[in-house]
Amino acid sequence: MPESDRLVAVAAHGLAGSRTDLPAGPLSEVEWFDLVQGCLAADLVGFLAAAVTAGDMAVTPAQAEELAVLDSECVGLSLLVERRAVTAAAVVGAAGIDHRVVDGPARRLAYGDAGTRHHRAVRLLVSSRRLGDALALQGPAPAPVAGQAAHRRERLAVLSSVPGLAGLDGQPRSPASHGDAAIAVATEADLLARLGPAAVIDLAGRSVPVLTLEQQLVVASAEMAADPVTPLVQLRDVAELALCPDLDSAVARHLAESTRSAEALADGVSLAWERFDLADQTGLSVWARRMSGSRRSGPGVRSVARSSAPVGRVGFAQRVFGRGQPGEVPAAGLPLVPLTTTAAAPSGAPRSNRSARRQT
Amino acid sequence: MTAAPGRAAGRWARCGGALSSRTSSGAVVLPAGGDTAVALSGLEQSVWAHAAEPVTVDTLAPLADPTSVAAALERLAALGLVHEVA
Repeated sequence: MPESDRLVAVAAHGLAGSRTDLPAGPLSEVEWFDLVQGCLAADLVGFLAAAVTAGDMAVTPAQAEELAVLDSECVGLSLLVERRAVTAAAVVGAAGIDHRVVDGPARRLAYGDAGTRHHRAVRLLVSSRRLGDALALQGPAPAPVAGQAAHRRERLAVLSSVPGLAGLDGQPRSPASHGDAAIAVATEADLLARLGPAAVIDLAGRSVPVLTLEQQLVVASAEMAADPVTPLVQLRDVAELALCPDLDSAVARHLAESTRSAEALADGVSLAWERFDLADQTGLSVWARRMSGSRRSGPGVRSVARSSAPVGRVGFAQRVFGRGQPGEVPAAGLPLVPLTTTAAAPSGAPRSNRSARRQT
Repeated sequence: MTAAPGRAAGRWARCGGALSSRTSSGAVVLPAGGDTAVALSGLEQSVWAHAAEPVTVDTLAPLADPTSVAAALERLAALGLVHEVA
């Protein structure tokens, strides 16, 4: 099995209905090393540990022990990032600056308290009008220290827009003509206001405002659309959010439309369903497939531009890790997932994700 | 004077401000004010979970034998994750 397929299967572990296949038995030491390094680079160690713990992937006792230690270390680093988010949110909130945690601990809304989703950094979204104030509260950036691990400032980014939705930030738009009179298009409300009210989670005894499930899904999809190479863990986030029982897909679609990111949402959900071979269709996935598929097959500039996007995404592992043979890269034209499900599980190896149950 | 954990007649509760995540082998906790996250065993994680509300040692008895529960409480207290309450 190509390493890129293993990574995809690990990233898909726990997703209901995924038909990706995990490695059949214990990997050789070389294969194991490559897989662990790949998971480390892609922030997938937690999913690998979950797969092993669930008995969905066989490992040797030594591999299991190594993985448990590594998983704990990654979770510990994620908690440090969460601490940073809690502190920054408290400071910004005390200054009366409206804010939302975009990712990092915000993903607990979808993943719960299971430490499968590790993160190295977190972003705090504030109004563009208060961005300067919020940045000033973080203090001056310290000088980098050679050889030092990610500094606390690198673990937190305060911003007023995100890639893919930057055009909605509160920047003045160019004038538009209306009859003989040129009128200025009203400055749009900034992204924080456009996204709407926050959800609140409890972290370390503090109430921390975070993006809602729907907002996280729209933002993650928009960011994927803005990036030619999609990290697997970000694609997993989209799938996790889209499959979350608490997600209101109608709200997500409405939000995507109001932020001009409906195409990005459709493409993101479609891509997640394709890459993780998700058998279970939802209203959102059917809508996304229809919308995304119709644009791919239709004429025009957009379909041409879109057709090239999956190439970079499919070749993620090869681009990031610089290994893999050309023949291992899946074809760019991924087949659409059929609406009918129920593909039978293979009778033998490799182990499959298809019996996976959602984590609660 | 604080009695020894596990043998105390009092109740035990979580210290506030800690962050935690469940892992395959138990949990990882970052104590309030601490810079280092610590891995908890399955039993320690269970004891810590029960201590979300003040608990007596007797309440924790079903989790494991008294010696193991006492050891778990002792470690959690040493890490600053639980404390004795009135």
